[in-house]
Amino acid sequence: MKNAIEVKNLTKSFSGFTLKDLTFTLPEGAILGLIGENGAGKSTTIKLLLHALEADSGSASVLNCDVKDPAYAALKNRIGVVLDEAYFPEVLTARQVGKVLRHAYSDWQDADYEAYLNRFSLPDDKMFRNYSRGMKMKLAIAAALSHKPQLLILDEATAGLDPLVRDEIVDLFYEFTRDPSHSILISSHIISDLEKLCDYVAFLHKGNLLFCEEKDALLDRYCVVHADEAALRALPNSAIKGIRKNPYGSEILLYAEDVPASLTAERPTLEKLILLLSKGDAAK
Amino acid sequence: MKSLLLKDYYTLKKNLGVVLLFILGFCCLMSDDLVTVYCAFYAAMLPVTAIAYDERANWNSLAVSMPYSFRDLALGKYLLGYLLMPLVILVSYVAKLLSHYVFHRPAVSFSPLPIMMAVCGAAIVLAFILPIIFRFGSEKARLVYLFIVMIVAAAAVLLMRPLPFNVSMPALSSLSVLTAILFAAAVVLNLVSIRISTAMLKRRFR
Repeated sequence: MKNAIEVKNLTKSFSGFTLKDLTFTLPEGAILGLIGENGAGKSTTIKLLLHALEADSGSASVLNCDVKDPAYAALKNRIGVVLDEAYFPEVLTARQVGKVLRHAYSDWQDADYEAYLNRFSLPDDKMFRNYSRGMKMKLAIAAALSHKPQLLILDEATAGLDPLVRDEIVDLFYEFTRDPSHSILISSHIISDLEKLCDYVAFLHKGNLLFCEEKDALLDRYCVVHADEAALRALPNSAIKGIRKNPYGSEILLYAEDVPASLTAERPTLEKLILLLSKGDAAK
Repeated sequence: MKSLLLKDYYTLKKNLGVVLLFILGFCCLMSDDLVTVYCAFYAAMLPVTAIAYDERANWNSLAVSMPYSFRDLALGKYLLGYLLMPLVILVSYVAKLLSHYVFHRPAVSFSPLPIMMAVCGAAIVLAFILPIIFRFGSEKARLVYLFIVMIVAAAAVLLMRPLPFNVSMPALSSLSVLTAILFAAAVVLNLVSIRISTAMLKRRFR
């Protein structure tokens, strides 16, 4: 199986923050969700993949091209990018954005762009600055999808959008990956979106990659149990992978095989798993 | 590159209209050759305005994800300046012609050497200002630009003042040589400047 993204031992240091030794792959045709708290290194990872930042060490290749290769700039014709904001000049209208991008991308599709504008009900003669946030993000997504990309890189693309718009956009990403050669790397705070969408999940915590695994395998491996103080004391410390205490007892993350018969276990949601692995870690 | 220029055109369209109207009015009132010089320098300022718009929209964050290199992003602003200089000068000449026929101002003589010198001078200013703006941003760079223009203007005023001793204007052949030297300087400085601007832009990002 080919990989759309390959990252090996990527490291980037800033004063007060280091993204350490990042290694992961995104198989072609799959969706990888990059999860992590604010400042965990998600946007840094994406900037390194776009070669907007230079790594201190390690390597990254996108669509089989090293990001340091001079040919990578041209390869970006096959990558659709949506950042946390749609950074189009504010006096441009959607029609003008289309005209500009037609000359920027070698495979720009006017008909696709028109269709997305219609689908999202975006007025093409209204200045970008007069769009709502939802409309701005929809325009950015329309632009990212209208030049036949093979890979979508989305950095908090659904942040700040209402659930209806988010749902519409998540459906669009599903449609995109119906083509087996299409892949998506998406970073988001909204774990419920990623749970719906992703095949793989990578969890960044304080600049470290804690895991990058197939989502279903990951959720199958863990269980959440609710236990009182006595039941908690009976569990070996090494078995506890995460814990969140509250006045009524504790919520404990365990490997499925470590769950005692006396406790009722439930399959964690991705959100609960991440929460227990990160915040629970501190409470242990 | 075409897309970057088109984006800047859409961004500056409103400004450009106002500027061209202003120049038309200015030229109708004055027929001095200094107006042409002023126009060339004003045109060199417009890429700074375009960069300010880019900064406000955070355009470069998006542009680096597009099929552009840092060199393309820097070069685009130089090309914008090179395209706008002749356009603005052309407008100033049209305005001077209009002022001659409509307001019976003195006849306009088309003298290519002073125009060429003005364009080269403006291109040299562009070569100095753009690396600074790419490094420090448009706000600080505007101050630097004003400072450079003030020095150039002061030098021009000093040079044009009647001197206490008798000085004759340089011969046409000397002007040609001076223009050629200015042109060569503009080309070399701009080539170097484009490399520095590319490096500055990279540094600002990385």
